[in-house]
Amino acid sequence: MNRTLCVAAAGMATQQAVLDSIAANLANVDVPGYRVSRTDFAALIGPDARVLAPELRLAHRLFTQGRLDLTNDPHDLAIDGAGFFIVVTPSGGRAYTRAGNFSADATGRLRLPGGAALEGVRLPAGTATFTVDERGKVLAQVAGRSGDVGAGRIPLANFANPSGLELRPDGFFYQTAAAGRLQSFSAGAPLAKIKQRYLERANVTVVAAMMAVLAAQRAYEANAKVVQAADEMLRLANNLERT
Amino acid sequence: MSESDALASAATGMRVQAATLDVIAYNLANSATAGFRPRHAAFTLSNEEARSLFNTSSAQGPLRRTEVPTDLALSGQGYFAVATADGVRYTRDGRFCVDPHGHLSDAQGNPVLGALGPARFPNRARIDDQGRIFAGGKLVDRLRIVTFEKPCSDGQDGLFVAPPGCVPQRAQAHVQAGYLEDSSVDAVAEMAALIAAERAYEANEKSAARTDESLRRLVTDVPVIR
Repeated sequence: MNRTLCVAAAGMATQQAVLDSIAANLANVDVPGYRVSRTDFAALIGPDARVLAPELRLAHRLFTQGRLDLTNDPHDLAIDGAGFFIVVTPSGGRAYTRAGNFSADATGRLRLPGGAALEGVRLPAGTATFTVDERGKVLAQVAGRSGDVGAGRIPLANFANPSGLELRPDGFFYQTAAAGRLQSFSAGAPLAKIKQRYLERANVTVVAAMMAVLAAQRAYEANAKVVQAADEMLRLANNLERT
Repeated sequence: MSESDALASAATGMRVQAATLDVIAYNLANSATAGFRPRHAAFTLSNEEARSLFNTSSAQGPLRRTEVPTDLALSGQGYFAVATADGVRYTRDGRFCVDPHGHLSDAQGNPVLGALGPARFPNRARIDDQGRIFAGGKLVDRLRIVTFEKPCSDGQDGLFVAPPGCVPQRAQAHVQAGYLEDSSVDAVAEMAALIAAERAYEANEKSAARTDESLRRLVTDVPVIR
């Protein structure tokens, strides 16, 4: 009977963890480029109440395509397909992200709100506007000069196992051994299309998340009923000996 | 039947119902675990001794679409083969990912077996319904999907162990890439079984209490009547 209680408690804890990760996904529904964490990686509870959680080293994030929204801001870039933008963080490290809400700074670098700079691009001084083609080639229109001026090329990167990337609190992905080799892609064999004036939203599906909340809630309730039944049976057993 | 026999029977009955609740708790705790197969308990009584038998159900769980190319579900009988430190184990849980070396691995990090060792899964590969892995139009590997003549037994870590003396055979199951097989626990049936176990436990408790009562009468009233 004690084991029953332990198994049911482990089941409730698992559903609680599932709810936690759904809450994290829903909280980030408006963060550009946020990658949803998978809620179907619930732990298996052994018959002896041992919790066999899937390997937690991997966060099991889902790298599906998010919705692309037209923003008409020339600084907004989105990746249509697989891969990541390569950015240099303010601390000087290399990080990877799907977020594309860049803005140009005084030195002509494209920076994310946190200050991380996009690799491969430097807009010349006096740039009026610029265009980015699907392959990442950046052409700037500079005041006082006729014709387009090359301003670099945006490289994309991918990994054998993107789920192995480490997501740090700054919202960027960092390379780990689990992610495998970095695969850079040249202009000749593009990995994905880069779309200017678009932003990629988080790949969170609100409806799916709400369905998962309902399922987790009911599964939690079922485990609670087991606790109740075990409790009732223990009470009956204690009633056997009457005083 | 003497009173002490009646007490022993009631105690056995209560023990059986407690064990049944144990199995129900195990099934319900895993009602959201992909690829999980519920267990059912069967009891046989011989000489007041209850012997329990656990059968793992082989009912197909519902398939749920995830659109992740490395999520695989089997429709039909069969198992994926994974290599663990203790040897080859079998599973229906298709929550696979790609490891740093470009091989498929299961949620615990064990390599999933293909035709010759760990199955290769290059970037942007896809898996057809026969379990063949294609990358850029070329056949790279084929997943080992097997079945046995006898049911598999439960091993450690939720994986199945091949029944002794059985050779794995190629299964006819279809592989559905981008889907996961949900737990095949039937919550309604489990809740009904839960109520039945609770009431049966109560009935046994009542019968023990009645036996206790008649034993008490025997001890206190019979000498008085004399």
